[in-house]
Amino acid sequence: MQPDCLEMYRKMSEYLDRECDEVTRAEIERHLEECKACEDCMDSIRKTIELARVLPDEPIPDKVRNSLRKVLRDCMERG
Amino acid sequence: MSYSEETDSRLVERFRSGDKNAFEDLLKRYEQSIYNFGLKMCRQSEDAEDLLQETFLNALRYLDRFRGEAAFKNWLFKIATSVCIKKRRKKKHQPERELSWEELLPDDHPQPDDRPMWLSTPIEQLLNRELRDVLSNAIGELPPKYKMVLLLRDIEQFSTKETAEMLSIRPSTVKVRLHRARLFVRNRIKEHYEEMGDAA
Repeated sequence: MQPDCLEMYRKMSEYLDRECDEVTRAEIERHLEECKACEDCMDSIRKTIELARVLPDEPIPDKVRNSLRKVLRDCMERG
Repeated sequence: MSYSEETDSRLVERFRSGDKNAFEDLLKRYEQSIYNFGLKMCRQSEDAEDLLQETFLNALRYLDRFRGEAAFKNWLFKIATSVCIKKRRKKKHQPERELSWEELLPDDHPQPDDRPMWLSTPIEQLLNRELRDVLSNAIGELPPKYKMVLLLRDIEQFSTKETAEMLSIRPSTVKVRLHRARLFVRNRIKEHYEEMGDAA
């Protein structure tokens, strides 16, 4: 891996989260225009974040839901 | 006004004024996300159930101490993360593995001729049962301190600052752990597609 690419690789999440300064942001964008491997890598991290966000929830089983309410009710009644 | 339109702060106020139903409304709002956080952290449904119960019991016991400096959701997740950390300590797990930078680096970094297909495919077409399993397993295999940051940042969408406050760590530590966690998961997804022949 080229030193420039390695430096990009370290900063990709900060870039995607818009947490790097403007100078760094411009440097990254310049590099991405020239380096297809880094562009694909950046896109793959972006896609990973999107996939994690839409990963469906496991619904809470009714039994668990009901027993939680019972425990909380008992706690409230005990004060 | 239905409970879904009321703010969390208003529900907390109602509870403090003696309306017990307000807690049920808060519970309905957050039980699913706390349960899922527990499932992903612990990987066992029994442990996730315990985490769910302990989190809401603690919230009920200490709601009087909630000062509203942070949002209720942040306060609740801070409780959930503390419960989770305590449970791990009790179980005397082995020391946590660090994700080293070296292990996350690509083996090579050639200029590809073709863009991998999965990067151009819409999310809704990609997320089939198989990929869900790959993704869930990859998240599940993350060392807990990396997993916790990934879940709080990328799934619950707390900011870096909020996550740092919740876990009592520096924002720079959140950033490092998050980036490594994302790379770990990304590498698993990439390997999955490479095995399927999308290796470009």
